[in-house]
Amino acid sequence: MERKELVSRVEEIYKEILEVDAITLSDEMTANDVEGWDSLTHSLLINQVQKEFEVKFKLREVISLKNVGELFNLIESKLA
Amino acid sequence: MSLDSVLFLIGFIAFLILYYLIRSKTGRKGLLLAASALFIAYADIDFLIIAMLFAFINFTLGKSMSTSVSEKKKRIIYITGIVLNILGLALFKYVDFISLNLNEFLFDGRATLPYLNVILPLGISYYTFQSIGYLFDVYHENDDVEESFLDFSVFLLFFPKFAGGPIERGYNFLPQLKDSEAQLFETSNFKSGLRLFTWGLFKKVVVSTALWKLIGPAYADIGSFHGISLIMVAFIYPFQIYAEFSGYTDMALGAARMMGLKLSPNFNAPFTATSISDFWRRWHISLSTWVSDYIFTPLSMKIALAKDWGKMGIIIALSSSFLILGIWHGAQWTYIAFGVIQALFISYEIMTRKQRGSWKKKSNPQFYERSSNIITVSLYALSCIFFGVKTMSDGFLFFQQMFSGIGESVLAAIKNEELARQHIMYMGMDSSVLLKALVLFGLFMWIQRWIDNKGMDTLLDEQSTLTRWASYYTIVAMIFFNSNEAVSFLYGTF
Repeated sequence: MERKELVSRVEEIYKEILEVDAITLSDEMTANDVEGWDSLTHSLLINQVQKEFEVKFKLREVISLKNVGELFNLIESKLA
Repeated sequence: MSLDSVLFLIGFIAFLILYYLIRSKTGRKGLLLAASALFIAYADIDFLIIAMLFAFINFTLGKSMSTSVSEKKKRIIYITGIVLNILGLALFKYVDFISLNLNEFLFDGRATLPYLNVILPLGISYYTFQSIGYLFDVYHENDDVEESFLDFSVFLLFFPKFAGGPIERGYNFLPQLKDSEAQLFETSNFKSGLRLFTWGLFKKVVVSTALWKLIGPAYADIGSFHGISLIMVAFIYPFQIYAEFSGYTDMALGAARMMGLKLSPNFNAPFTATSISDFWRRWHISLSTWVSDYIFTPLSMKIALAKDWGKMGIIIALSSSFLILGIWHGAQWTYIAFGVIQALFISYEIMTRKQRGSWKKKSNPQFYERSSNIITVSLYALSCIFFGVKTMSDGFLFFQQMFSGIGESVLAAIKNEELARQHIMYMGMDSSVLLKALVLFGLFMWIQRWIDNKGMDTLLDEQSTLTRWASYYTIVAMIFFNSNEAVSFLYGTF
């Protein structure tokens, strides 16, 4: 899967979970940059990403994520 | 020894002079550890031994975790560390509470399970939590392992934060000890730290004491107050805790800043919050973020990775987290109730997120903001009733008395027969106690709002020299004239 397609699919998930009309994600973004993305919604996002891409994460992998780019990388590494 | 005692202030000045005179980094850290040891041993030498033991165990576990190559061994050390800290804390803090309740429910109140009657070691709730956080971060590679036992002991025992927090993170504090420039004397740090310390001292010694003088009698004898008296008490109480605890925190942060060290903030204008979840991002931040990072996130993630429970999974993780946050304050059912109530409020907020979003869109934004703020503060004040009482029955009595005789109490206060007003409005105290409390409360919230918006240093530096020095003198004089009335510090007992 191309990175571009992956990003847009993750954006769809964010739109649905955070209940916003539009969102643009970039690699350096963190929870501080996105309204409604907090510790309460974070696990819902991860759960939806797992389902959408049919991958399984480990707790240690998701806890050490620093920004959106690292999440994209993690998904890619699982799909590879 | 509390940070607002005269003995501490004298000792601290002597300490600072020595601290600035020492040129070697290791020497300064040695002095820091020695001063911290003295501070703890002054309360009880056993407290120092216990704290040093925890420091040694956690330091050793961190080191062996980082040197072990096998993933499995690393995990075993990590889990051992977490269990040891929890067991240590439980042994000193919760064993008698557990025995008492099991004896009550299983053995008809007979003392079948023995009571240990151990004294709660000073600071244990703070340093065990800091150690758990440290081990978690080292294990999850969010933090580097600490190689120096001296630095690690200073991290856990550092006297400004030892007895009342903030609950510090290794990755915030430890690198500062490595920086050889950070701790040298610098006028701006000293000035800024002294200002913060003094403001904290004012809040704790003057404001918190005046508010407690007014509401304290009602907590001591709930049964003899009704209606508007208790409503007033319930609404003043959160602000009294705020004055006391933010005061203590400012003193800790200010003292550290004078040494060139930066501690984490605990408050960010909590009474401007527009929801309970927002409130907990602004109130006792070092505890709420600790619970969020080390309990809520791993737990909610674990659930989200394994199950499709959606919002239910979050609510389960959230309830567990707030249960722990509540009971962290002490082995009392009232603290558990306090935590459970917060979990209920936030669960409601999670479930109605979408609904509230559409209300917000439909209504006037300013009105929505204001009313959300009033509702949030009111709900928090009501939940604090359980925070202020010692037993659940006192908590229920408080609610019962508060909602009974509201009309009568208003009428009686107006008629003022048999000096009823004094009992109802001033909790049996002189009217000057109410007046003093209200004036100080207003002054405190007004200045604090400025500080929150601008930062204390900017705010003061903008003033003319005359205004600035007049404020210093006023604040210091008020501290001086109120210093013999100060009450003991609640957060130092956790």
